[in-house]
Amino acid sequence: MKLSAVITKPKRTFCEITSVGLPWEYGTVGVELFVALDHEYPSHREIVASVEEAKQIALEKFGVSPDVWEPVKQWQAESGSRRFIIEHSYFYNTAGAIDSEGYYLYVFEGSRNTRDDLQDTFAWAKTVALEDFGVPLDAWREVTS
Amino acid sequence: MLDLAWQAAYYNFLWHLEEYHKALTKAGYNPNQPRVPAGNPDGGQWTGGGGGSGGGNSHDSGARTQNINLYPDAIEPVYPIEAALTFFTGGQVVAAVRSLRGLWAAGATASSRRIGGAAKAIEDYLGGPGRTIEKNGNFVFIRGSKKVRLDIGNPGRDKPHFQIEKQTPRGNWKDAGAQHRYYFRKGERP
Repeated sequence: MKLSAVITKPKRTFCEITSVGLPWEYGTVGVELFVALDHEYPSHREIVASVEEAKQIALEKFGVSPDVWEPVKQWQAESGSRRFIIEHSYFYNTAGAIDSEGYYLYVFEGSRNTRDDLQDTFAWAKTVALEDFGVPLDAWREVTS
Repeated sequence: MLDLAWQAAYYNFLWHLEEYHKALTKAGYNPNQPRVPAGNPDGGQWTGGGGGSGGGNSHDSGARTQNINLYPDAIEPVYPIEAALTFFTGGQVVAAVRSLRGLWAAGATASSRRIGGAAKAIEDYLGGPGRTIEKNGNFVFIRGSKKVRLDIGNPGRDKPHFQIEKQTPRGNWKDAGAQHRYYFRKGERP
């Protein structure tokens, strides 16, 4: 489960709520609230018990309305000893408006993330997984919450 | 703590990169204007033929050359991008953070020139300032078929790193060099 929210006021802020662990481990521990404020470091990371609690914290600390959260599209596949995730992502310009979108291909060996490719389309992310790692095109299943 | 120092340094780096791009735009930089290739004594400078109206110093030497060099005393005219980005090693990063925070307003420092060099290296790889997009504190600089990704704010289950990519004629993106990820600390591995 992964949710994403972006606001531009009072400050450009990127937020994610993600189940702790990797997708095949989801639902076990809790959720992580990640908040990246424009040009401020460190990013805020906090483990809480539930999505609702994370949304409440995001609202109180960062002004992120509960209405702006959107699910992030994810697909998962396995091949040999590796696991693969394709994740849809929007990208933003410096004014905070959506500029473009892309698809990350993440490769995991155990819990280690060994590769992250960014392609322009879902089809290309799957094709790269096929050509570089032998992941069949029909092996992908959507795990978007 | 050192990780924080590194990442703080790169946020500063990005801020200066944006300022650098703004300054270039203000100076009338034309991204479509061709540039002298790396390896040439004038490497990285803008040549005539692109119709740019830019500012900065100009001189004639065969082909008209337009020099918009905001960091005239950079160590080399063109940095190999990996070298420029991994230039920040050990105490240099901490020093860069301190000097940027404390001395930037007073004028260019050695550290700011290095950051300018790294910004210039990205620009040289892309062939111009390109477009900057962001997600979760991770930045992508893209121009035509070239891309530089800085995974800093949210580097996944890895250390902060950057990636240098090119687009194939088929349309997919692949690593431009032999390495998939470059880390900000010398010798750092996944």
